[in-house]
Formats: sequence, C-alpha cells, structure tokens
Amino acid sequence: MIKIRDIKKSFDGFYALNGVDINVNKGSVYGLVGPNGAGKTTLIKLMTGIFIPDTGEITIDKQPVFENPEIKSRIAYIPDDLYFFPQATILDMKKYYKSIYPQFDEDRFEKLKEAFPLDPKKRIMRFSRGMQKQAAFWLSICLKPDIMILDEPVDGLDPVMRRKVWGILLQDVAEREMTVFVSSHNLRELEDVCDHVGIMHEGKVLIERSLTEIQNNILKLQIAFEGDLPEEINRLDILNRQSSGRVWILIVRGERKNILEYVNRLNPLLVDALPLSLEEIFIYELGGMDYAVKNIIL
Amino acid sequence: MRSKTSYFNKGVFLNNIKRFWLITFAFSFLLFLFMMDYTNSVSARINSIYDNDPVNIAASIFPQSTDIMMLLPGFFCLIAALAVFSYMHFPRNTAMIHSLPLKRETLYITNYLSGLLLVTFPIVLNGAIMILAKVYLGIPLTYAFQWLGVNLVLTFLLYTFAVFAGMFTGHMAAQVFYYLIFNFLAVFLENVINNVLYDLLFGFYRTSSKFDVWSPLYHIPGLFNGFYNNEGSIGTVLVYFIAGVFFLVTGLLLYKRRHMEVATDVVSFNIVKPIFKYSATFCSSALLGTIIVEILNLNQNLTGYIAAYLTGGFIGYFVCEMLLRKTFRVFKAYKGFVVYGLILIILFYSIGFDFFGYGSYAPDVSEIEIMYIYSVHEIRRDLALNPEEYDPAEHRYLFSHKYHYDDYPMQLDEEFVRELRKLPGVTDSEESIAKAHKIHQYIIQNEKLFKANDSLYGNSWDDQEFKTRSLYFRYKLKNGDIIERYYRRLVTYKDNTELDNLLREYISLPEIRLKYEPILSKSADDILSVALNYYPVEGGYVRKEIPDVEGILEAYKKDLENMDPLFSMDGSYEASLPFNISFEFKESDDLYFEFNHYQPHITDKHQNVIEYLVENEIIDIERMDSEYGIHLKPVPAQ
Repeated sequence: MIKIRDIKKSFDGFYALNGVDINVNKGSVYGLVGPNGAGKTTLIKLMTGIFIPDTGEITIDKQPVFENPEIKSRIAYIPDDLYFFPQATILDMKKYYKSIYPQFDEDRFEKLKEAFPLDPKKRIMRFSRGMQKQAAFWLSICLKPDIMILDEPVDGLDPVMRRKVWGILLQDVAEREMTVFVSSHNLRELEDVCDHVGIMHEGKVLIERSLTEIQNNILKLQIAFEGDLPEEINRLDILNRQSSGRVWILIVRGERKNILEYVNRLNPLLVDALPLSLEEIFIYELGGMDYAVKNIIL
Repeated sequence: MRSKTSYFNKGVFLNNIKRFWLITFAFSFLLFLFMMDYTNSVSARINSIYDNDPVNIAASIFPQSTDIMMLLPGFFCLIAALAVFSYMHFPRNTAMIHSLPLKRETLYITNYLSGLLLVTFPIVLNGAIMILAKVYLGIPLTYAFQWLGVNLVLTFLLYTFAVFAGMFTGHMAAQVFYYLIFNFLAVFLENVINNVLYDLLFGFYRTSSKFDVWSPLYHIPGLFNGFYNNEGSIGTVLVYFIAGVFFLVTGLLLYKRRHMEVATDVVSFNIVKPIFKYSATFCSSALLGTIIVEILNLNQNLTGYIAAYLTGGFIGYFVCEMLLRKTFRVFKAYKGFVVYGLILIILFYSIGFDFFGYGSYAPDVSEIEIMYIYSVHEIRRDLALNPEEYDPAEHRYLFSHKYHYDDYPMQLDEEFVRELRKLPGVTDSEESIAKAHKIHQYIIQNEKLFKANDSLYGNSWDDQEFKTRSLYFRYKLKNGDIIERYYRRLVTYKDNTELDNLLREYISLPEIRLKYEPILSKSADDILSVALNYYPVEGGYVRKEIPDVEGILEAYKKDLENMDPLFSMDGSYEASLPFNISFEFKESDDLYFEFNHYQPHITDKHQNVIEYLVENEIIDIERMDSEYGIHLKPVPAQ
C-alpha cells in the first residue's frame, strides 16, 4: 500500500534521510523505531506531504503523496507536537476538518464522546498535553482515514487512555483494514500492537520485517561448557556476549532451530534459548551499528 | 472518498476570517473615525461663505487622508499578511496546515484572498460611507471613486508585497523587515548615496527625490497631491496594480517551491542568503553609518565616514551571520566582511579623492551655451536654461503673476523664455560666461583652502572672522547636456576675499549688473507710484506716497551706482532699516518685478535715498533716532 523508494532528504547539507526504502501493507500496523535523530519524524513529514523530498518517491496505492489531495484526504496524521488554532474548541476544529475532509463522520464524533471525556466547547489550548492528544485522536478517528500516521502517539496519555485509544484504532484496523504507521520509542507498547517493524538509524532503515520474523531471527542463548567457550561457537552471528562464571549469555542472530542444532553438536553442559523483547532486539541490533548501551561512570 | 481539489477552500477562508476579524474591525473603526472627521469638515466648508467650491471640497479627500492612508493600510496590510500566513513561520503550525489534503495553490490563494478581504473591506465600507455622505451633501462623486480606486490598488499592492515578503522567510520579524525594505529601500538608498556624495564630493548637488515612486508608502503624499490637483498619475496606479499582480503570481510560484522546514529561518531560499547578507550589511552600514556620522559630526571627514560605515557594516554583517547560522559563534566567517570592507573603502576613497574627476570638472567656456550662477538652485533659472523642462503641472505656480490658475500655457513661449533669461545670474554672453567660469575654476582650484577655512570656521570662537557663501552653477552645454555644481559652504576670511573680487568683477559686467538691478534701466515714465512704508512704534502700518517719482528714483539709482556691486548679491544679509520704499510700475514683463511691484531693502548704505527722504521731510531723522534707535548719518550740507 505505502511504498517508499530511495528517499533522501537533507537539511543544509546534512542528510537526515539517506536512501530509505519501506513497504507497508494494507491493514497492517507498522512500527518505526530508531534512536533520536534517526530521521523518523522527517520520514513521517515526507509521508504526509509536508516536506519535499530531495530524491526518491513515496506512493500510496501507486500514487504520489506530495501535492495529491486525493491521497492526502485518506491520511490522518497526529504529530508529536500538536497544533490547534489558538482560540479553537474541539467543535471549532471539527467544523474546520469537516470543511476540508468531506468524509468526516459526524456519528462517530458523537459516539466517541463517551471514549474521550473532554468538553468540546472548551478552548483546546487550555487542555493538558494528554487531553490535547485525546482531542487529536477524537478528531482524527472521525476522518475515517485509510492510513493513520502517528508520531509518538501515546506520549502524555495515561495507561487507561492508551489502551482505549489503541483499542479503537485496532478496531478500525480489523473492521476497515485501516493501515497504521506509528513511530515511537515505547517499544513495549509497539510490541503489543505492531505486526511489522522497521528499525532506522542515521537516515537509513536497517531492518524491516514482520515482528514475528524479527523475533524468530534473533535469540538469547544461555549456555555453559566444560571449559571455555569452544572456538567453533564464533561461527554463529553473535551480536553480544556476557559471562557469569561458566555460564555465557549470547545474543545470536539466525534461525532458532539451526542455532540450537549447531550448539548442541558442541556438547554444552547447559543450553537454553530465550525469546527477546523488541526493546532488546533494538538495543542489540543498534549495538552493532555503534549505538551500544555504554556504562558511563561519573 | 474524493476530497475537494479546487483552488479555493471555503473552510480555510472562513476560518481565517473568524480568527482575524479583529484586524478588519480595527482598520474599519479607525478609518471610520477619519471619515466622520472628514464629513464634518466637508459639511462645515459647504456652509462657509469663503471656501465652498464643491469641486475643491470634494477633491480635498486626497490631501486630508494622506497621513491616515499612509499609516493605516501600511500597517494593517502587513498585519493581515503576517496573520493569514503566520503558520509558515512555526514548524508545528506548518506541519498541521500542510498535512491537510489541500494543494499548495489552494492554500496560497485561499489564505491570500482571506487576508485581502480583511484589508479591503474597511476601505470599501468607508468609501461607501463617504460616497453616501457626498450624495447627501450634494458634492461631486468623481474624487470619491478615484480615492476608492487608488486606495484599493495601493492596499492590494502593499498587502500582496507583505505576503510576497513572507515567502522569502520563515520568520515574522524578517517578514516585517523585508516589507519595510520594500517600502523605503529606494528612497533610503537615494538619500544615503546623496548624503555621502553631498558630504564628500566637492560641488555635488543633491537633487530632490526621483525614486520615491519606487517606495509606495513614501510616495502616497505625492500620488494623492496629484489627484487633488487633477493631475493624478493613473499610470503610476496602473504600474502599482501590475506590480501587485507580479508579486501575487511570483509569491505563488515561490510558495509552491518553498521547503516547509525553513520555518524559523530568516531566509527561506538558499540562493537568497548571500543577497540578504550583503544587502542587510550595506543597509546597516548606511543606516548606522549615517547616524554615527551625524552624531559625531564627521560629515567632512573621509576617514571618519569610512570608520562609521565600517562599524555599521560590521554590526549588520555579523548579525546576519548569527541569524542565518542561528548561533553567536560566527566571527570565524570574517572573510566576507573583509571583502565588503575593502570594497567600501575603495568606494569611499574614489569619492573622497575624486577618482572620477567630478569635483575638478568645469565645462570649457567654448562648450557652454547658457548658464546661471546664483546662491541657490532655482527652478525658474533652470527653465531659462532649458525651457523644454517646463512641466505645466509642476511649474505653473511659479508664474502665477502672469497666468491664471486654470489658464496656464502647455509650453513656454519665446517671449517668456526671454523674460526668464533676464533673471539675475542667467547669461549667455561669452564675456559673462568667461567671468563666471573663472569663478568656478577658482573654487575648484581652491577646494582645499575652502575646506580648511570651513574646518577653522567650525572650531573658531569668533565667527565674525569668516564669511560664508553658497554658490550654485548650472550650465547648459551646446550639446544639450546639463552640468550643475553646488558649493554650499565656501568659507573665506573676511579680509581675504579673492572670491569676492571675482564675483564683483562678474557682477560689475553691465549685462549682469542690469539683471541684478533692473531698476537701473527704468525711468520715471515707467513708474506709476512710489511710496514709503513703515510701521511706527505707535499705530499701524503707514504708506506715504512720494510724489516726486523722478527724485526718489534718481536717489535710489545713485545709491546703487555708489554701492559695492556685491551688495546686489549679498544685500539681503545686511540689516534693513525699519522702512522700505515700494515702486509700482505701469507695466512690466520683467520677472524681477512680479505683479509690477518692487520693494527693495533699504539699509544705512542708501545714503542718497535717506538724504532725499529727510530733505523732503518724508522721514524725520530725529524721530528715527528716538523711536527706532537708528543712527543715520547727518545729511551733508548742500
């Protein structure tokens, strides 16, 4: 559905995006993760037609996004840094969006009043950050978009509201095959909702797969041998290794089954394979890209 | 579902009107207050017995609204443009607006139109009020429609440029700065260049502004005056309209290419950055430099001038660097300023040391067709040299003694040109030109002496030691070129007046002498009456006829012949006595005697006139002494 091909974007000679390729399938929830400054927000602003790319193209259903109102009317975008007109209430903003998005669903707006306990006649700028986020979700969901692009979407929302919001969004994903493209640092949450993940670093996408594939492709191996680690173990794609006495913890990239078969041939005293969380995958993958967690002693 | 893809979006338009209606309200209200005041004054004038010409009253909307129409549209057009395109200057606002399913054309046109409505509505509303008032009062409506049309075009131009200026920046303050530059750059640069040349280039004459039409806000008084006098420049209004359309279209093209990440940047297009940097550096040089020069009185000091301009440029250059790089650490980028400074120094030295030979040039006598030399630049003498310059609209008032207000000639006839050429200082005789040229050469050769004297004069405690005079030379060459030079402060020691001698030689020439004192050629037959005029200490103005016209004329002529001829040039500087004599001529085409009237200053040097008046008991010398404290020389025994 969404195809991003060789997108480059520079600011004063610095490439914030340097050849990004991404594919997002219809009806999927795609999580984009990456360290600060990786280029996630820049990519999102290109996807929503705010920025003009230097090179490359972004298409939705084979049509370019930039300067294409037809495509853009199918997108709802909730940025990290929200903007509402200074004096506007939710009702004012509803009226405004309704005049621009013909598909704005008034019934949904009424129904969602229950989900979002906000006074629609109160000035939005007087709301807290979390309440403003709720207002943004309320209005965006009423646009009935085909694609929802979210940048740090649940920042500021309380845990109950987070669940509620994700519940509504996933309902749309299930019922209307809405596609969600979400950038977040909350990997625990992404792990719960995403079916595909892309990891960005320094303007490039390092990995882009389904969450299951990613999690199957990397595992934590708890292993112990009679003496030191045998030399043959280094043939594995080890991302990280730590030892505690004779017990070694290895983060290994590869097929689970193949790794275990290979290790068992080396006659370990103990071997145990554990799944990795998305956060751990993120940390170990980026560790190989010189973005490792370092212990700083002050 | 399809979205709307037209070039206009009603939602965005109405939202802008709803958000920014206060601009329209404030503008309308202030303009309404003015309209009420104007309507009151119109109503009062209609009922006046002195000034009730309906056409003149109707036309008065232009001069009366000059100030208000410079201030209000100038201010509100900028505010409206800033308001409706304000989102461009803030990243999150830009993101919200540009993520909407609207083309950039749609956003630009819709926002533009909403802002245009905000600023044109008050003018239309108040124009309608004025028209209704004029209909009610029975005053012609032509000027009301003209006023409405001219102001709508001006508002369109000012607002469109304010929008256009915003396309070049992501910063509101910079947008304001660009807008002001547009409105004042031409006159500002013209003034700066004129100031520098006037101060540093010997003989440079600063002419009146020729570029004010390029500075629309500044030009409003001139434009309105034209319409008031029935000489409104429709061409200028049309050019302003075309310029507005140009800015509108160019603004759209720029908006389509604008990268929205430039929000908060002072300059939004990389290609414009060096232009911005060096233009702002120059403007800062000129503005701060001029201020420093004026405060420290460095007008005649080349080194001081350069230092002041470099200081201004230094501040401007590094402030620009800071704004462009968004950091205070910019002093490593000094090379650009060094190059700028070197160019500035070369430029100033080329002016100060007259590299182009402007100050040392005086045309050869053989090249000169006609010229004048006078203490100041004077339009009638210009026309004497070059009658083709006559512009009925501009110059007819100069000859109001000859032509009626509405019955002025479209060009100057030969007879009139002959009269103009009789004006003091104007000459086409070879002998007079040679003498005048000698004066000019002397001034050029003694530039350093005059400047040194000027400096001494400035530092002297006793300014009686010095004599200052100004001289303006204007030549029309045989090839048609006009050369002009003006020496505003030729300072000499009072007792060392080589310049005075040369001037005396020149004025003593019969042709020149007669032009300065044309009464020398008049006889009693030409004179209708002569009178003594004075204000006694007690009582009002007294006019006493002098019946012996020939006697007083001869006495006056004798005084002129006895006097230093330079008195004809400098006479007005001498202290006048508390009375004067007025000659009324029967008929005279001589421009010197406008309205057939001549009333020279009488000083204590007019001994023959005083003797005549005393002898004939027209004045009482004792009363002069007691009542006015004037000690006149006793009349010599016959």
